[in-house]
Amino acid sequence: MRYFSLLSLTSISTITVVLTILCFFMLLSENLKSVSKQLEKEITISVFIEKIPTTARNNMIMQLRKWENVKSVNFISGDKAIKSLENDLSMDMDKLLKEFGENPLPDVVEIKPKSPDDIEKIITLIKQKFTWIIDISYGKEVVTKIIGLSKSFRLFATLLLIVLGTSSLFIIANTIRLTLFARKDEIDIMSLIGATRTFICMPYYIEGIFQGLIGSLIAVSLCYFGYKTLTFRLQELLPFTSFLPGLSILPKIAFKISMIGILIGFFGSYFSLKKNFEK
Amino acid sequence: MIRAFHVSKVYSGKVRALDNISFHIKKGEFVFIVGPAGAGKTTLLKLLYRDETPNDGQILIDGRNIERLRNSKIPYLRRNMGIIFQDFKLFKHKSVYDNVAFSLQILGFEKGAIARQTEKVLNMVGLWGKRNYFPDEISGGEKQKTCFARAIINSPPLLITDEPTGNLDPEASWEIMKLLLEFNMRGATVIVATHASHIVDKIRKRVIALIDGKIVKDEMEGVYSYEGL
Repeated sequence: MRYFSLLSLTSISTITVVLTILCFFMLLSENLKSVSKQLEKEITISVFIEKIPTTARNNMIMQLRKWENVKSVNFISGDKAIKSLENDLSMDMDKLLKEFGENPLPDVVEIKPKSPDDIEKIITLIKQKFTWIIDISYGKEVVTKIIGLSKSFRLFATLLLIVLGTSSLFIIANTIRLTLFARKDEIDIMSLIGATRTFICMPYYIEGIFQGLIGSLIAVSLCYFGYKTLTFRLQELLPFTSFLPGLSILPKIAFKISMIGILIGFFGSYFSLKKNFEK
Repeated sequence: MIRAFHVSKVYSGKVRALDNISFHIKKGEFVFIVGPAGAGKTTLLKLLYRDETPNDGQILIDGRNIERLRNSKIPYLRRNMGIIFQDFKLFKHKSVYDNVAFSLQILGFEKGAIARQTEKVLNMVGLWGKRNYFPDEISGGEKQKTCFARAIINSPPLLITDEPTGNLDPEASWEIMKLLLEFNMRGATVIVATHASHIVDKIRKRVIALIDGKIVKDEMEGVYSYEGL
């Protein structure tokens, strides 16, 4: 009995380790997804324009507002921009302006697209329609990097699931095989007195599922408390960071992790039993 | 009930355990299978309860060719036969009662019926008083009686026994043989593979003798001896 408990403990421990790592990656992935979504919402195309007559400028803004993929348009004059800079830097800009002779900051038309996918389209149209464009920027590199990082993270998490999941599946299969070997005589007797394969195998399927479920529950609990502690500490150190609250994302992740745990447990038993009965 | 047609069994391509044997066992017969060690007695029984399949020939039980049975159907074949082994094959962690009742649990009987039937057969073999004992706590004869009770609890029409008295003292051996004979008298077919010559000679039932996988003798009211054949 002690031997079988030890074997079960080995399986449950393995599943717990695997699923804890996965759960942790899923939590990070959700946070990254949230950050990239937030960034996507904040994306603003800054169109730097020459000093043009007010009518021409207003006409441009009116046209831009009518475009279907533009959410909002905002005009910031060079003078307003210098004043804003003065406040941000807490500096007296008059001395600096004397050096330049005139305000070096151009007028800016800030455009918020409805979707990040429309950015390139909007930029192409602006360049085609308006000739007084000095420069256009939207923080392309930052956004691309964040989105790329998020995708890479998710891919890595998927690969990790496959590798770790397969390893733990084999461990469970071997555990069940050891149990079957130890109970070989019992199984032979059951078979000889007319027990069907389902009757013999069902307890082992249930054992595998149970091991998977216990492992996943422990993993989710460890992750919840670990995440809570880690985010609390990180926010103390880096107050400008924000993380999704554990309770908001954990139920969805907990369900996925439980399902993965159950599947690993079930298939571990299945492959082991299949091999045993094929002999 | 059982018909074997030109049955052969070869192990590892070399060892001919059974060599072109044919026989017919009628319903209700009591048959001894005798022979020296390695004659093929156990192999023959294994073919009957489909633990092995023949390399050649066919075995029909109640008109069904059991060689062609799919693996999923084998449990249902075995539910129509009781099997008793020399090494008992009892569950060590189950009591005498639970060992016997297990056969009916597999069949899906309801609890009340299991309880009634188990009590009946344990009384029949005289083990009701030891129903809560475990196999390690009872004698060889009592273990074999437990096996007998488990084998007959659902009244199978066929009882196959492989050296049922092999590990028992003479007194216990006769007790088991009496149970087998009583069960046979109720109409079941009983096949006993045995080395116990004194039992075979005393009971004088049909004897099929095997040597080197071949049937050398098939006598009604036969005796154990097969030497010189």
